[in-house]
Amino acid sequence: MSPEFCGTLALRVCSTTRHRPFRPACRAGQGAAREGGRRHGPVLADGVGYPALSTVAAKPLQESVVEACPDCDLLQSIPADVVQRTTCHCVRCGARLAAGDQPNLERDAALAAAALVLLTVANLFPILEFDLNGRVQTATVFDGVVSMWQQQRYELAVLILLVAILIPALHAVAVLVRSQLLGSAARGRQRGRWWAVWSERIAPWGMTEVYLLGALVAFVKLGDLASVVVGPALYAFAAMSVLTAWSSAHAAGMWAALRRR
Amino acid sequence: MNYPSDSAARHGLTCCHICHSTVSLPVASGHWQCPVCAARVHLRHPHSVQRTWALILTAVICYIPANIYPIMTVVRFGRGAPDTIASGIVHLAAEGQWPIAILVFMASIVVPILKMVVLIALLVSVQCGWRWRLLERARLYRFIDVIGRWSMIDVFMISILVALVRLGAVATVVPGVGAAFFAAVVLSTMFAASSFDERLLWDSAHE
Repeated sequence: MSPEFCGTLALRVCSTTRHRPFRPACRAGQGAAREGGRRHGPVLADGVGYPALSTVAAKPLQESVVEACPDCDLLQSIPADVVQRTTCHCVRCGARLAAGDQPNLERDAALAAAALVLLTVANLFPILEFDLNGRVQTATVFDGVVSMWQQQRYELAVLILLVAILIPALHAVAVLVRSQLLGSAARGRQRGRWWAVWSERIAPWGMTEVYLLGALVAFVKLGDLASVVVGPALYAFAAMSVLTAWSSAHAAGMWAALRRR
Repeated sequence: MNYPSDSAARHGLTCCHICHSTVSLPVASGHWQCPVCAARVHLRHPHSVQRTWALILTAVICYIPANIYPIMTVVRFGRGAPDTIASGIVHLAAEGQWPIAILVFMASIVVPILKMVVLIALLVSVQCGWRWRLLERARLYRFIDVIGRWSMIDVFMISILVALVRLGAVATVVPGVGAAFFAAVVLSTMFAASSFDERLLWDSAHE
C-alpha cells in the first residue's frame, strides 16, 4: 500500500469520528463487534500492504479483508474475525458490505418453494368478487391481463403479465434452482451462478406487494358501486409480499457460498 | 477520470454490482468479468449521467399526457365518466375515503414528481461537483430508489377494475391512454434510478 493512501484513509476515518459519534462498521450481533472492550471498527490495512488480490479480496485473509463499498466506493479493511461473525456496514455511507454475509441455501429454497405455492393460489383464485344486484363477477390476476388486451391496451397487458405473474414466478423458480445447484459440486455451482445472477437481475421487477395495494384500492373504489368480497388470491398476495420482503433481506448471503471455494 | 484517493477505483478495485464482491481490475484473464458471479464489472456504470438524463427527460415528457388524458373511463348506463389521475383522487376524497385518497395521492403524484425532481437535482449536483451534504444526498437517492415501484398501484388498480366491472351497459370500466403513459413514467424513472451511479456523488465531491 502506498503511504499516501494510508494517510488519506486514516484522515477519512478520523474526520468521520469527529463529526458524528463513532459508528461501528459492524452492527449485527452488536455484542460481537465490541468483544473484550476492543473496538472492531474499520481499521487500516496498516503496514502489511494489500494482500495478494488475484481474484477476490473477500476471502478471509490472515489479518483483514479489504472491501469496496458498493454505494460510495470507499475502500476499507475489516478484521477477518469480525467478517466471519457479523454483517458489516460502510463507515462513510452505511451501505451493507459483502463481507460478513452468511449463506443459508436451505432457507432460500424453503422461501422460494412457499412463494411458488402461494403464487399458484394467487393465480387460480379470484382477487375480488363483485356483486351488483345479483350479477356476480369475479376476476383473477390473469383476467386483468386478458381484459386489458381485449380493450386494446396491449402494452399494459404485457406489463402486468410480466411484473405481477411471470417475474415473481420466474424469480421463485430461479431461487429454487440456484439454491440446489450452489450447494452441489463445482460443476453444478457454475450453472448455479447463472441462475443466481438472473434471479438477482429480475428481482426488482416482481411487484406482488404493489399489486396487493392496487387490489385494495380497487376494493375501496368499488365499495360504493356494489358489494365487493375479497377473494383468496388477495390473501395469497399478502403472504407473498411478506415472503418477498423476508427473502430479499437475506438475498446477499448466497454469494458468500460462491465466494468461498 | 480522476477518482478520489480513498476510493477503490483509484486502486484498481471495484465492487461487483450484482454480487457485491470486491474485484480487482482487470482480472487475470483480461476480461472485466466478476470471478464470483461472472457478470460484467465496471468501475462506474457506463454513461451513467447521460443515460439517467435521457430516461428522466422521457419520464418528464410522458408525465404530461399521463395527467391530461384519462387513465380510465367508468361507463354506467351508457354514459362514460373519464377519470384522470387527479380526478380519481378527488372522487376518493369526496367519498370520504381519506386514507386511500392519501395513499393514491402519494403513489401517483408525490412519488413520481419526487423521483424526477430528486434525480435531476442529483445529476446537476454531480455535474457541478457539489460537496454539500453528501450523506444526505446518498440517502435521498436510496429512498427514491426504494419507493419508485409503489407508483404502479394505479395501473394495477385499473387492471382489476377492468376485469371485474364487465356488466355491459350497466357498468363497464375502459382503460385510458393516460394509464399507459403513466406506466411509462414509472418504468422510465425506475430505469433512470438504476442507471444512476451513486458513487459519482462521492467522486465529484473530491475533485
